[in-house]
Amino acid sequence: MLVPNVVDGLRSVPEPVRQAATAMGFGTVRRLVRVELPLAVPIVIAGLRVAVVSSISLASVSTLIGVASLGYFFIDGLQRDFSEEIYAAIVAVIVLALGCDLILVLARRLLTPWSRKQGGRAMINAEGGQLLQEQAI
Amino acid sequence: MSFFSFAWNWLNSASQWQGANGIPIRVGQHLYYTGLALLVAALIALPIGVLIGHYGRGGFIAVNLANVWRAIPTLGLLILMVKLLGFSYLTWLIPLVVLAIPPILVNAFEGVASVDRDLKDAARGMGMTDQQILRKVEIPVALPLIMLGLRTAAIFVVATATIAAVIGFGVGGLGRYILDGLATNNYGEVAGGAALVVVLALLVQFAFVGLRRLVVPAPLRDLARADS
Repeated sequence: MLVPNVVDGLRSVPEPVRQAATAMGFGTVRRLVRVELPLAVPIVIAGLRVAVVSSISLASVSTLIGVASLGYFFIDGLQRDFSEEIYAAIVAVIVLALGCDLILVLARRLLTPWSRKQGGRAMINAEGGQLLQEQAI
Repeated sequence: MSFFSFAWNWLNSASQWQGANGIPIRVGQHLYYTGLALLVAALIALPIGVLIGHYGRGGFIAVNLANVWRAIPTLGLLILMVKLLGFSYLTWLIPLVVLAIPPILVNAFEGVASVDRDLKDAARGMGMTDQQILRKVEIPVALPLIMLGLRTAAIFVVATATIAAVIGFGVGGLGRYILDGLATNNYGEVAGGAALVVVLALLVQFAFVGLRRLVVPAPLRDLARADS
């Protein structure tokens, strides 16, 4: 899920940028770390968001094989005929997933200070990357 | 014994392949759950995604809403449906449809929204109406991504249709083997059921690769390959 996403992110770095980095005397490794990876951050994080949110909501399935998780409350609520418990557990899973999602969004804002200045359009383009990485899931 | 020898021994016994609980019937049920859920999800998500992409409004909201949507736990929804609806077919259908909607919608939106502006201008210059542009230009060009969304959703649903067996009461599918095997400490059955789900998911993936060759116009196929 995440590997093709990093590949997409690195591929999205424009060739002129790469050449400019080389012209400035960056070696392969330093170019990767200082130029390509930072520019790939929006697409990598977009993929990470999908992966994190899906995984958290899926993790509740573990309760079926007796591994403790928020999913326990689903089964417990069903057995005790206690709907509120099921509702509460669903909300808890969603809140947990969105909390982690929010952390990733904040991380992207911190890691890509340049995208903030360009306004909303750049954000939408970054989400476009989410699309690309989705193929890989 | 390893997972594989467990699964292999179980799959090799002839009794598994016959009767009302045999593997062919279970695979058929599993594909039925998957197919119906995918169809309903596509009927809901494709028009919405395509229209949002076409009019270019609400895309940011749609993509983020889809991410919130993904957070809905399928198992929780399934159990809630058991409580609310009892044992109707909607009980397994609704959670699987909910699971399939985000990838289909986001890919349809991205596919249509990312159609080259020059292409649309050219179509308009040729005298196409808005509707014709959508039908003859935007949707065909977006098809590689639309198919990708459907494939992603299909694989999600094939893997997750396993939990429909939690409902019990005549709901089969391959999850039956896993849950029954766990309940009776028959780990061969668990491993065999899980292996069948994996094989089925791979077959669905190949089926979609073939389907994409059929529906995507030939000049766009190279693009489609580059995308994946």
